[in-house]
Amino acid sequence: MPYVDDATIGDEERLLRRVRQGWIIPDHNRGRWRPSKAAFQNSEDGSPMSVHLAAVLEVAGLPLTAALAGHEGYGLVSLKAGLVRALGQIVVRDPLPTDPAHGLVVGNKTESRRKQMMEASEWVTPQDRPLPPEKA
Amino acid sequence: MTALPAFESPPVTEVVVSAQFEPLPKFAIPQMGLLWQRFRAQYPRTEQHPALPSVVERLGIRSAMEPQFRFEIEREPAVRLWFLNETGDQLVQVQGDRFIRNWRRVPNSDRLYPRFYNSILPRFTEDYRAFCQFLQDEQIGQPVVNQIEVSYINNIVMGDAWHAHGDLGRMFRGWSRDALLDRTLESINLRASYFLKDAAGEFLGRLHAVIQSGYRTEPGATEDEAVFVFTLTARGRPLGEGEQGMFEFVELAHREIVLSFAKMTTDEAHAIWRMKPA
Amino acid sequence: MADETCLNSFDTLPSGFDSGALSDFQVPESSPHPWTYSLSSRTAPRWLNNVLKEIDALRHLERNWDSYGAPRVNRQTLLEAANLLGELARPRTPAPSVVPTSDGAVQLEWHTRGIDLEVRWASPTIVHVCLEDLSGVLAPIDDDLRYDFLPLKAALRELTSRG
Repeated sequence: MPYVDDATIGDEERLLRRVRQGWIIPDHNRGRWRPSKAAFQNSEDGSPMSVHLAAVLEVAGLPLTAALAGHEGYGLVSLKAGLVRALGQIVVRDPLPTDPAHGLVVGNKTESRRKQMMEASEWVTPQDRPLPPEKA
Repeated sequence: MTALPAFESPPVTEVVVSAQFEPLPKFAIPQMGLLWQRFRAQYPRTEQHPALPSVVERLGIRSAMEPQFRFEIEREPAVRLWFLNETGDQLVQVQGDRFIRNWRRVPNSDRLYPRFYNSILPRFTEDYRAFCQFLQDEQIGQPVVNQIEVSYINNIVMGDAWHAHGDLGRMFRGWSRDALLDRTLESINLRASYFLKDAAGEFLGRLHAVIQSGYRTEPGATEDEAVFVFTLTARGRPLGEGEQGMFEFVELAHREIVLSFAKMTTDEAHAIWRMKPA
Repeated sequence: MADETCLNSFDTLPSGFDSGALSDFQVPESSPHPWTYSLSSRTAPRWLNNVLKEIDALRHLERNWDSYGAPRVNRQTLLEAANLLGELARPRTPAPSVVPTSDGAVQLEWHTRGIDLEVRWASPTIVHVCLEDLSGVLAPIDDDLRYDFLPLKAALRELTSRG
């Protein structure tokens, strides 16, 4: 069944994406830790990119980091729904029994689109530690 | 085009023609078993072996013949299957990303090298097409070939012309007959790689030449025989789309190998192998 | 290395080919690599062993390692990534980040010295390269490479030279 963009998810709503440690990379060009573009991909089986809807967590009185439950050590970034829509994506709710805030970002994620998602993403979990010295 | 040299009694002991393709995930062990049913009448014996790693000749990356790192790969199910004929001199090898066809000289056999155009190429063609037909019938997918490889393995046995590995220069050009050192040569392992290019001068792949000293133990013999194992391998990309592009490379590879074999070996060696006039 | 199956009994050094040839090559005791103890011939960067361990560690990732259903990382692509580093990295090349991707591939990334370079193995034989040079010296790349790695080699050479 084709996905249909959910207009009840406003453009300003934040979508949360988990980022495993191996996807948090040092960027000496930008002077910060940031997610790799690899963090913004559809799943291998073609299923869309999973996110969590911040608004659902907030209504439930939960902190945004509740999206990290069971995934200790992961980072968390947020993206605005309007940005991903501008990149040709569709945003839908996909509540799960154990994860009512679950949602999907549906669409082809080219290198360029993933790069733009990466650049627009903001850390929910601060990554303030200093960058490592460049190894050479 | 230069006529190819020919030898009445070449020292070739094995010829391999291999087509590597993008992995076919649906071509796994059960499907290999089904494939064998189609080859069984001709190749009634089977063996299982670990799969070979994929190899691609690339411009800008040193010869693919020497991968630098080999990880401890966890033991996975054997995924390369051999189909052998009764005498073991003809076989087909298959794995998820490779189809290989071998001819080899078996010990104590008087079967001669069956010749490339008379036997090697036709049999590769026939078996490869049977393989592709099977893939189509079972809806597994069609191979998208990314590398082709032709190898000739030659065993140059010690005889009247040479008596020790230090006599390298009597069999191979470019090596002085004078000893490098005033000492007995114990072993030698020479490797050379050359670019292969298409008619437009674009990178195609590489020709690898390896000369190794060794010893052969024939069944029933009381002593080891010194040999030079001289291997010529041409590996590269298809020359065009589809099956035709693949076969064009196979023929180019054969040609490069035969010409190189003749150029790299001496007139004395050619006389032993009874080189025919071009 | 040549196939291990013994056919004819030859005791020679390994041919180094994985061509599917059946001739047996057993490795006699041979002298160590002639440059083992030389300092002046060092060509590998100091970080290489540690990065190779990071690459190797990825083969232990189980299915769903990304919490979004990712498959296990393809082992052949890990080998290809390691071999590429061994071939192209030089003593002054900066260390890459090693990133597994949700489709079971591996990616090497450099974001330093004004260059953003990402090298991702889409399959064991196809490499996707994304290059952006903030200084504009190198032309951008966003392409699959299969047989010609010269653009990648040039990018790494430039990256190394800025160190």
